[in-house]
Amino acid sequence: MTTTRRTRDADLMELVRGVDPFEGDVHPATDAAAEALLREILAVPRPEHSPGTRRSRTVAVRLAAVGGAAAVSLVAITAITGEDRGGVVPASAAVVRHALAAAAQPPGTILHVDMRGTQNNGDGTSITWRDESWQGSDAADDRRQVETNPDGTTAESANVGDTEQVYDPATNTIYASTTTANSAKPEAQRNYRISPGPTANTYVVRLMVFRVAPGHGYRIVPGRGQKYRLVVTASQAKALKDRSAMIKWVRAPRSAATLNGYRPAVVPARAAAASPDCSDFGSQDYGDQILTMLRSCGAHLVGNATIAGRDTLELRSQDGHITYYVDTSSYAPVQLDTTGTDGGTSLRFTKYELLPGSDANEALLSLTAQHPSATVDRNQADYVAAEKRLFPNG
Amino acid sequence: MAGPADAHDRDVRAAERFEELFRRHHRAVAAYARRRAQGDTSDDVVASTFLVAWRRLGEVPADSLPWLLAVARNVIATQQRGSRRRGALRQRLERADGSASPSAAEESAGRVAAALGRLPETDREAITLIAWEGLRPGEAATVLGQSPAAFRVRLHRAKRRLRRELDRAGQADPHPQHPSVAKEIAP
Repeated sequence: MTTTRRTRDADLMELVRGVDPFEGDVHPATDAAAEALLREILAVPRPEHSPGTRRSRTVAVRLAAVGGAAAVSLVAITAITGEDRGGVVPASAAVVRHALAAAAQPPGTILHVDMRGTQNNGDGTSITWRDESWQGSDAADDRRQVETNPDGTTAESANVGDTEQVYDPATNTIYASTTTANSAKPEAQRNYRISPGPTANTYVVRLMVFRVAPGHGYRIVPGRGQKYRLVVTASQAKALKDRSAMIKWVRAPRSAATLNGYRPAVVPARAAAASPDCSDFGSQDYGDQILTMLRSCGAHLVGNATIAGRDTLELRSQDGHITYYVDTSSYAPVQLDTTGTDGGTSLRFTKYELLPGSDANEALLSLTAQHPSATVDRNQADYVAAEKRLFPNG
Repeated sequence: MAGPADAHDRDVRAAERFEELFRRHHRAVAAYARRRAQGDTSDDVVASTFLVAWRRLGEVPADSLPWLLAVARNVIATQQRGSRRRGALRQRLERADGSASPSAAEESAGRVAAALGRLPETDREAITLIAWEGLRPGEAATVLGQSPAAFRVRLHRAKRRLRRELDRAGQADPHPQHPSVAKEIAP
């Protein structure tokens, strides 16, 4: 080919490029529509494909909402694609993955959550509460929370390192616990303490801080709660201390030794970690519950739902005990429902945001920063008395 | 035997791969569809194309854009066969010749567009895959389901036909050609 021909070819193609009907931005709504389309497609089951099983049928999928990524019609796509799913949209790994990313707290951030909880006790009674908290990611125990009780009273507390603090507005005093944990891992430090038992070769595990919350488990709330004693053997105590075992709440017949049908038990840590019991979240807080549910409990996409006026995607655990709703756009937590044989708990997140770890935001974790004029009382007896006074219900 | 966890991991990997594929090529596929599909059906073409890709993810090659455009091309062809309509691109290109009181530049562009519209579909596709979609000849060959050698021959012939159409348009045109067009199509 001559240079002249190549030049002419290039010029010819340039002429054709000049009549490109969609030169430049292809579609003003592409980004929003693309996100909606991506989510819709990922919600469609992908058949186990093997060579030679090509589908000849062309499937048309219309965007549920061009330019409005929030509105995703999974029901519509189910009908259009004609897949038989047995009435349930199957697992959507991508949605689960997005939900995991949205619930996780990156290092160096502060998680701010404002949550309304309702616990149905299964006997016709229920309790409600509001909990606003700020949780640091770098130190597992740095956390401040303001709890609003059903009667409207509030109680404020914090965990700083391995000490607990409560704030009494009546006396403008911060009561700090002087007991510190030993060498156990942070969540173990928060949750129990081991001491010699009533007989030889026994130990007492004191579950330091917990409050009954989920319908089929317990939620640890650092800094308060009923005390619970568990007598264990020396080998169990050793296993707890060397972290080869952990405390887990398991179902049990109701008795004086159980709480709402659950009792604490010592279980091998490896077994518990390898195959979490998804019908029993044990002592996990809601953040861990969400992550466990998404990672290990067969979480799958069920469909769309509207929760308090918000468009959500509804995810459910394999056993159906846990339902988790996430925002359709951000995948942020909206509501976590757990049901058990004795009732259930619903945690609605009105705020679930990550704050940068700036000095101003770090102050949100601290009672002393929030109440700079408060007196700090480090007497353990005063702390215990204040805890009982400020958290009479545990 | 693979358990639920393995299946879950497989699903996650597939979703990650698809999401990466989608994000990388969505705009290109959307552009291709918008240029060729009838009016408001381009979104359907894009959705169908990526749905096929999702279902047949194991077949999508590493160089995935030509594969996706080939799927989109088939989707459009099926769509147009079903509706018995002429190709949107051809209609659009032919309409480009009929604008009232065009400027000189518009006039020359209109002639190019009209000439392109008069080409056989495969010739037009060979040229526009290169000029509009920015594909390399080997990639365009994949879209058309041809060997690279066969595609080069087709592209050569398509260009020759386009020049001929432009020549013919220039001779039939009572108005003087835009200088750039006159220069470019000079034999």
